[in-house]
Amino acid sequence: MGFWEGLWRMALAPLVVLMVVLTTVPLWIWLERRVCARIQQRIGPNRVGVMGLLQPMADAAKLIFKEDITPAHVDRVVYLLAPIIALVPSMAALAVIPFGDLQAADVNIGVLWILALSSLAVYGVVLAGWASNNKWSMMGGIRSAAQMVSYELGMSLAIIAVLLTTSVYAASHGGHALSLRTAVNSQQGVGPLAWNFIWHLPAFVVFIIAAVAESNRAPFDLPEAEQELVAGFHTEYSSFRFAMFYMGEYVHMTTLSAVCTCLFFGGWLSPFAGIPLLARLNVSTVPVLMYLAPLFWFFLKVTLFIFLYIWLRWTLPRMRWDQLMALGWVVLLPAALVWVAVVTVLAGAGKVVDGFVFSGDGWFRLLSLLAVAAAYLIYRRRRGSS
Amino acid sequence: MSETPTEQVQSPSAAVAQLDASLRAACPDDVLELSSLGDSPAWTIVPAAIARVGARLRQAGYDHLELVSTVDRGEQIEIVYLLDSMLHRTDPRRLALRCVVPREAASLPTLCGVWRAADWFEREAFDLMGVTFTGHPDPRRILLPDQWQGHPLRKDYEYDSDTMVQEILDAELNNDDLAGTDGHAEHDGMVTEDLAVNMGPQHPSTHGVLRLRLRLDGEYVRECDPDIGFLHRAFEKLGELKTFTNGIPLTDRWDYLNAMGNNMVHCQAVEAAMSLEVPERVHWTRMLVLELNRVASHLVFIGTYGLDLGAGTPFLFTFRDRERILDMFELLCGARLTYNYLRIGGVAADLPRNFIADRVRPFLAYLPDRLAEIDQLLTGNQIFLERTKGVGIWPAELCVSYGLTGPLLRASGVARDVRRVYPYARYDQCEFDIPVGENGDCYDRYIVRVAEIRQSLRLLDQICAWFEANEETTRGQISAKVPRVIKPPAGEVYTCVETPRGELGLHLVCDGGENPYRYKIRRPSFVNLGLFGEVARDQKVADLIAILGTTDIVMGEVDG
Amino acid sequence: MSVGSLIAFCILALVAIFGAFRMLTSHHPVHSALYLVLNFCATAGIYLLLTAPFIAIVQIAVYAGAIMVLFLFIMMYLNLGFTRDILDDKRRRWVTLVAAVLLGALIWMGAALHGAVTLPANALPPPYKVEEIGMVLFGTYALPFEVASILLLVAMMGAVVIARPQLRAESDTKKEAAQR
Repeated sequence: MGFWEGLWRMALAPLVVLMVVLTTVPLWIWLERRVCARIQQRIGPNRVGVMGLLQPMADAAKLIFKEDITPAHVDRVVYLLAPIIALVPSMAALAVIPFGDLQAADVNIGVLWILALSSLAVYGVVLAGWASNNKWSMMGGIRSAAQMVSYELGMSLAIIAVLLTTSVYAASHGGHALSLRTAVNSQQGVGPLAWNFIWHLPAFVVFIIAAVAESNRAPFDLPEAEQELVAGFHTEYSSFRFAMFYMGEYVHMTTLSAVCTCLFFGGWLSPFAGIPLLARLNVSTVPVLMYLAPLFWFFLKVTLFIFLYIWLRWTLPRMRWDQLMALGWVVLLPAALVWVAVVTVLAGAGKVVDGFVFSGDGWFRLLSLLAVAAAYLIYRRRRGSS
Repeated sequence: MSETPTEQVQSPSAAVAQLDASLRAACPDDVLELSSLGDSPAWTIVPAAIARVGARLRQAGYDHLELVSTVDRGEQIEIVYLLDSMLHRTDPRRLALRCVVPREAASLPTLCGVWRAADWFEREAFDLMGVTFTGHPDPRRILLPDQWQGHPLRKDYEYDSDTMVQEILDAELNNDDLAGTDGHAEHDGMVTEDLAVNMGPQHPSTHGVLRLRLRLDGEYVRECDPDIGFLHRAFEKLGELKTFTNGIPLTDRWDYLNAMGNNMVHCQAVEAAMSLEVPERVHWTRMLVLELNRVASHLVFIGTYGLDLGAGTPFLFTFRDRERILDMFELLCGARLTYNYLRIGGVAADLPRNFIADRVRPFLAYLPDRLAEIDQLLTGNQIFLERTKGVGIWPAELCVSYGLTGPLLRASGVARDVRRVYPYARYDQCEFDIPVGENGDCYDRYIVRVAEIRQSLRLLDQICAWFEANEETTRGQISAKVPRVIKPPAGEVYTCVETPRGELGLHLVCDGGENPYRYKIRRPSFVNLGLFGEVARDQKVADLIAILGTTDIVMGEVDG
Repeated sequence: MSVGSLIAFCILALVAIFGAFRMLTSHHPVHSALYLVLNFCATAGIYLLLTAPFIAIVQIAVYAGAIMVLFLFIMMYLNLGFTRDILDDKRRRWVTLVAAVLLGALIWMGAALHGAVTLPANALPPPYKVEEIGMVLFGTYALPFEVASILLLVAMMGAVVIARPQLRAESDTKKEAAQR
């Protein structure tokens, strides 16, 4: 790779990320406002553009032209820097997401890259809370630090469980074990039946819960809990600096939804792929659709997860701080740990009996279903007896 | 006024005579004369002995200090204590104690040691009437700013508004230290730093302009001092300045979620003072609007409580349902919040034709399904249960001592409802249950209100049935014969109604003129908040919000 | 080393040195912590240039992402105020300088003894797979790895015991009971 090619790639990668952010974030904001309105039996914004689709643009214009207030008592440099720090890591994490063939940078340790950047995202919130020099904001910042550090553990373990089976695939089919592209490829098979969310159900549940907590969304939106902390860490922010926090939240949601799609929902794979009767729907041979179909499936799945976020937020009350920590440390972390151990054993067992009736992968899937079913039955029985 | 405008009890009942005898036997030098306040007996007590007599009566079962009222009698100031029983069965159920102190040295012992409710009552009496209570643990002003001069409810009160307001503003604006300074505290052998913060008066969860001065240790509240009075509109003073009829629109503004109930207590008190009987139809019309108003108010509570716990959607659901009640009220009186619908001796307008069949009946059929929806969204939600069950447990004794009434008291298991204890209108002819809680936690305070909506629907069903049976024969009978100028004879009454927030009472003293001589309101939100400083201690900040939400205070009423 | 890499290295090295220097000279502990994060990120960049992406990512995830967040958390929780500038104190300034020079000399000597002060022109290792690191860590060096984790666990438990006086008091009473 020569110098100019490197420079070219360096310029192209941010462009792809920016494109994704600028097209999806307004869409999510619109979706959030319309879906929440439907949930609350309202109509929602429908005046600006067709079905109110241009409403996010109007919101952005309003926010940009509002007065940018920097209170006198703040720690100026950190205060001005915090919104940028909140936005940049989530955007950088998007770079390694494979949206079908569209990918800013195919890093062979994409999963690690995402974990590292998502752990940096907490700085924006913590520093905003501290620099505002406001007691309520600081409490928001402190809560946020504790919350994000705690849930990162559960989330990382859930990802590790998936990586274990992915690496088995990578060993036999080639590719990097920590690349999201390999993770998606390993889920090829009979439609959704081959996707990880079925065979890694506990990891999937842990990941979803941790993802909601990581992005500070209800019911885990304690850092900005309006009823307690007014607006938490961004109380003192106005105008475009506030908009950056707002955007950062949606970019973070997009990143985590995309990771979830790649790891658990088959990425860009069509749900019809590999199903005999629906084979005719397989468009991978039509020239233009060949490129558009994966993008379509990917964004459809991401949208599903965004919808889940919105649905949760407008339905559930907020948890209490200590309950949240208890959920993270006492429930999710041990559950993820146990699942990692189970997957290690089962995948190993699958390797041993590989080729006996099923492939090793098939054995793993069968055993994991049995394990989840057994755990559920034990839970039911214990609950019934107590 | 030198004469005491109370009529002598003609023939005191056996129970009163018995209590009189036992009181005089126990405290021979302290009890002076026996008179009456409305229907209740009233004993005049030597001021210095009030705490002793109070403790004696507390032992005899009068566990509820209902009201501390003050009346400016010219040379003297009279302090009136209303006692009632909640956990015990006393006869007579309610009685009054009077103390007369000289105007220039208006001072008597505090009752804080006997009933905790006395704390805020006495602070209010000091603030507005200038009566000092010796031994009071916290003798500050409560509604007016600390820099206020004089005591506005005294009849000779005059003030230089410009200079005083300027002084108060200067003092407030130059106060950089609003929340107090952070301090150090030692516990668990570790020195930690307390955080002094202001919650309110501009805060999304204080339900208006309530200010809580908090001292936080991490996420725990170590000290909570509620600061009220930001919305003080001097209703007691205004009540004295308006004629009896002109006072009705003012009542709408006390507890603006329950304007009908406020109308009711005013009209009922004046009617009692005039010994006025109202037609049957008026009673039922009043019950109709009172119960609808109760449902509307409880719906607001459910919605805002969801909001307090971070669930935004139930709020819109309950406001959608409340809208139908507001539409009905708009048809009745043209207003949606401040109804001004009741009149002395009647109501402002008769029900529109087919009101029951077209409006109320469909609503009664509509609401149960919506309540089931709320149950799915909130009551059965695991997060909601964990946020409310076992949080903020208030024992019944604590509630009684602080004089709590309404759903807050009933959630702690005390089945006291004014509609049952002192029935007004035609509640004694209707069937309804009094829902009570078991643990007195946030969940019980929530669920009791949901159950009360169901009971209100049951009452509304019976009210509709009455109208369906008597619509034609009673149509148009919406007022008693009332003189053009309302001048109740000299005397005093205390009447109360059950509002969604508890017992709303009015101690009305008349001197035979066109205006009330004294217009003392027992504001349930004010009394209910008195306990908050104590129950907030050692709670988590998030629980503080959850607990404050269940008090369902309306600041217009707290601040009077 | 290509021109691009050289430029990148110079920039990253300067940023890292700047971060380290400002960390020492900042007046506020939170600022110091942030400069340290900057330093970590620049160091991670240098690791990337050395085609060691795994180390780079771990540097960011563990040091910048977890450890420094905890530092900040503690600083905010204890509400640490403004510190006196270490470099304002003349005697301390000299002591610090001497210590820094000695440390530098020590590192140089250690490296010189092993003969790896200057890198040969194409000493960069070929890009490796994470799997290989895993095999080395959990295969060849499994025992030291486990010992290190037990050490950390013991340290953590010790911290918990020190921080919770009730636990300490309980263990004291138990000890006394045992002695009797």
